[in-house]
Amino acid sequence: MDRYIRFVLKRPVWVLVVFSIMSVILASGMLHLQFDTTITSFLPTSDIEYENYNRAKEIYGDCDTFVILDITDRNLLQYETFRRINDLIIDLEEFEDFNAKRELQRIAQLDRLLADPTITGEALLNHFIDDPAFKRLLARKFEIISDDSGRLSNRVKRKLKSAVMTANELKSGEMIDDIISPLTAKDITGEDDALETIELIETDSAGNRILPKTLEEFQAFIAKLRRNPVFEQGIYVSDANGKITNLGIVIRFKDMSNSDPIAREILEIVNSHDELNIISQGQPLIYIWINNYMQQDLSRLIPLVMLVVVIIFFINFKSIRGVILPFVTLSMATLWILGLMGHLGVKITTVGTSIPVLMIAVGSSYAIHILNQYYADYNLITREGKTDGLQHAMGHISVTVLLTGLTTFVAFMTLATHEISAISEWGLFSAIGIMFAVLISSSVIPAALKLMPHKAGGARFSNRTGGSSPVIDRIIHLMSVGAIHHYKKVLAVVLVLLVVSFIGLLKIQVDTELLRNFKKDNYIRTSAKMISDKYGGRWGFNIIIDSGKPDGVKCTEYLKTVSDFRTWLVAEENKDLCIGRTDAFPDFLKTMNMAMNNDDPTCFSNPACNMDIADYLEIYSDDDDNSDGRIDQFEPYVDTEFSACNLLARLGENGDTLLGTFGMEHIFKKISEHLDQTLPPGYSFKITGHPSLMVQSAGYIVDGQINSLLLTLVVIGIMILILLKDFKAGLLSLIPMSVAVIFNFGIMGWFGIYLDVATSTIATITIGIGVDDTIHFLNTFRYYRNLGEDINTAIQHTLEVAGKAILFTSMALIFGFSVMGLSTFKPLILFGVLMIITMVATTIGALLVLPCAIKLTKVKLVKTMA
Amino acid sequence: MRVKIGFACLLVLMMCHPLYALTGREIMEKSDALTQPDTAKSKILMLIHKGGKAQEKEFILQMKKFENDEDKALISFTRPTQIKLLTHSHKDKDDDQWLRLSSGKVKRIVSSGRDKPFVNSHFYYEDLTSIDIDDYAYKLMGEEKAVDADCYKVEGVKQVGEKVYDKVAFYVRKSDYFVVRVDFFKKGKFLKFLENYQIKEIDGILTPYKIKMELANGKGKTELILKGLKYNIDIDSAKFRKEALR
Repeated sequence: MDRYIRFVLKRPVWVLVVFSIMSVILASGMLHLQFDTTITSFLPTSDIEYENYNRAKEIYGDCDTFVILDITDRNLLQYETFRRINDLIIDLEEFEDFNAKRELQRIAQLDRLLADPTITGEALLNHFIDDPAFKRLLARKFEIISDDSGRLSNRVKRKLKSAVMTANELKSGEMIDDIISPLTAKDITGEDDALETIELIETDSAGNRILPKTLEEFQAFIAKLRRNPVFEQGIYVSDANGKITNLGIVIRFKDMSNSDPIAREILEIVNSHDELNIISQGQPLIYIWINNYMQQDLSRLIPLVMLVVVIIFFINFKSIRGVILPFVTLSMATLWILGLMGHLGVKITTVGTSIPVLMIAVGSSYAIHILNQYYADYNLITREGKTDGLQHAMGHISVTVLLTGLTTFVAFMTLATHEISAISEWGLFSAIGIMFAVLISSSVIPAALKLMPHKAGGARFSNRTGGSSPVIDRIIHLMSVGAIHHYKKVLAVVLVLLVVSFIGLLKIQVDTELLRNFKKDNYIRTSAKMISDKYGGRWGFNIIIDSGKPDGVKCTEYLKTVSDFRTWLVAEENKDLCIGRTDAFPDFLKTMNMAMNNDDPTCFSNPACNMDIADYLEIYSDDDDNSDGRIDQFEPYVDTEFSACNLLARLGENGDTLLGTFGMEHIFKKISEHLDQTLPPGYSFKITGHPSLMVQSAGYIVDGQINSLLLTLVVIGIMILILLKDFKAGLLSLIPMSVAVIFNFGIMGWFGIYLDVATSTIATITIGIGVDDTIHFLNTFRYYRNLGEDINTAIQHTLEVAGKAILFTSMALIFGFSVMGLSTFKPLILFGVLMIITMVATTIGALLVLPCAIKLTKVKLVKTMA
Repeated sequence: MRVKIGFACLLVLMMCHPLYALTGREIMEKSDALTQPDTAKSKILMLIHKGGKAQEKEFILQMKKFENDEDKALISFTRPTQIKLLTHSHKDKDDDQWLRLSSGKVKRIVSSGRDKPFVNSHFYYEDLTSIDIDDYAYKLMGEEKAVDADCYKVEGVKQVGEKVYDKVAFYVRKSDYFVVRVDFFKKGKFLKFLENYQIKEIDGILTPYKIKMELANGKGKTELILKGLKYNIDIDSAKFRKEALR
């Protein structure tokens, strides 16, 4: 390290130029940064349940993922409303069936029009008057790009073309599998001994829907809609008087492994139809909303956090370099790590958005300690000359920073093996980011100091003989008194706090329920409840019932088993299952059976004999685009062998209370127990889907948290043991971190803060910061012990030097993170609160608990680390 | 969902016509003028290849010509179900179809779903209807080899009426002007193709004993294998009455 510092001080300009170039190269990666809002990043991808889920997805498609659009209007059943709904559906259908020829023609025409330098936005749209769907697409893209409908600038033209091409690419992916709505649904009717396939809304020869206009036409439409019981709560909702009050559009997807673009497009389409009163809900949309909240608030708040931190730096240092150097360091570290992720194509998950926060917390700490050393050794540097003095000061502190960095690196790397990819990626890139911060602070700050004039700051807070901040001095004094004179009392209080915290820790609930992130009155929560109440659930999961033999599904015994089970699922006595609706393969057979019996509603039941089932399946003919042996409509519900059915259960809420992971766990357990008892011999079942994986991932969060904490503590303990060559010191070093972690979890438990994917990273950040503080303290303490000072004096001096730096950094960050309270997004507020708690806990841990423990154990620590 | 069971012209597929003109239109006109049987009875094995598996279906097809150029056909499945389908094909109006379930229940099929598969095979109902020569505009595209035979390639572009396919390409064997292959295009895309194999002359009528309809993407195919065939035999007209289904 000494050699490196010597090189930095010898070639400071080179170092700054190289680091600047590196920053430009790496920062350019930020342009490629992408966000990953898919659920996969939160799921344990190597888990057997996840494999089952993927297997189910291969067979049945992404059928448990859907979006529901609910439409209500005072004039719901009137032509004008239907015309608007029809436009909405047409816009959605553009992403269901890709017509390459039509799109090529559209783009060619768009190119011709955009080549006209005088073209205005309005004129452009008017050219597509005969292609209303494309005109609407252009209008909504145009609205995002520009609010000026005058002459189009080249920049707007480029952006518009790019947006259209992106939409075109999305269309070609045909990610929407099916749009089920009152306007697109088909049915089979069998009145007057005639079997007829009908569209609820008929189409003309060009495929355009012929919407009802007169009262009689609407009455006929309503009659068709009501005829099939499957449609109720599926695509329409009635009130207690039987009046149709809502119409629903259910959008199902082919493959939602990358749901972000299509979910965004759907939201864009919905928003563009603001003349309709639409409530949208669905898991893919929730991810988008969370991501939007996160990005909006983080991009607003992170600069604010940095500003507050910098202001506090300035108040304390009262020097420009005391502000600029830490600021440059933490900014550079953030740019490097985010840029690297961009270059590597690693998408930032919701958890990953906390990486800049971490860089601020840890990066600024490294910079402050280095700068602190400069001021601490100010007189020495003056005495020995700039190069030698800086070499002396920087060489010493850089080693400490490197060691703290290495231990933090290890702490974060323990998460890299986590089952949940969002957490493992967070661990890996946070660890790399830490090393970036160490490298940058150990290089840029010494190089910059070498080039800057040797000048004392307005406040040399590290000067233990003359502190400039009365508040910090007062706190340090209290810590000294507590540690030296009342260490037993302090430890007793800490012990009591630990016991209280430990009780709180036992109260911690793990919850991966995303809606928990939103306040009760937030649209996302209220719409989820509304959709759950009206459509029997806002999201779904799969219950696969396997007959154990090919064609076993085509059997009355099997159909009866499934029917009985479905009745049980939605029975009054099983309200705690929160399942409001189920969809399953037998519905097709029931529909056919009713049609074959002159539309008698009492015949909406399973066919009476196996022969009828076979006949119905023979004549129930439709497309089988992938030629897998099942017609496309059956694919979400039955396997290719017809041996198993996938029952789609819609999961709602438990009144006004969110189900949460615990509630879901109860549901799956109860269903499993029921099926275990009731399924005939030879049958088997599997429960899978997003809710089930969420439960699974909660288990991994707890296991991962415990494993990573234990591993981290062991590794850090060993590292410090090796560094200090003192067993007692190794154990002692774990005390501040352990205290902070237990305190942190205790607060979470007592205040009902759930442990989830995001909050589970707090413990690791706590250790990351805690280990830094501990090493700084122990190293400084050993330094003074080596000077021959007794324990009391060494503690006193350590608190005055390292303690002030630790306290000072903590205070800056506490104020900085308090800015997070301005967020409108609950997880960010909680993140800010937990970071503040972490800072307080680690500071108390290092500055009070650690010296008290040293006092109690009388640990010697005589050899210097560096 | 579509439930119409159309099949009346399945035999048309089984009896591809010899062609002997050099322009597309002339070839098709000559083809249209070929002799057809007054009655036919055949046993057909249908092999549907989907998802790496082959599903077998078997049926007996009986067909009879009536006055005014109208055909009546009865298809009776023998496995896996015993459903029967009766079609009355009319020259100037939609076909009438009735379905009889194994349980004896009879239903008239009303809607038409020409672009939907027939009993979940790769044949559309459209493939089972007779083609009017004026439905397409023909053009001789050149000469190509198909099903191991030198052929004329005649392209037919949709001209009138509602057709599932925008374009079809006939491969006409040069030696006897027999159609050995047909390519089907839907919405500008090559969708599937039909090939005739084991072509034999039965009572003066060229008849393929095996027909294959395969998806262009190779994901699936349906084969029709003629297990027995008799032309111009005496078939009681009463068999083609709706009441006889019960």
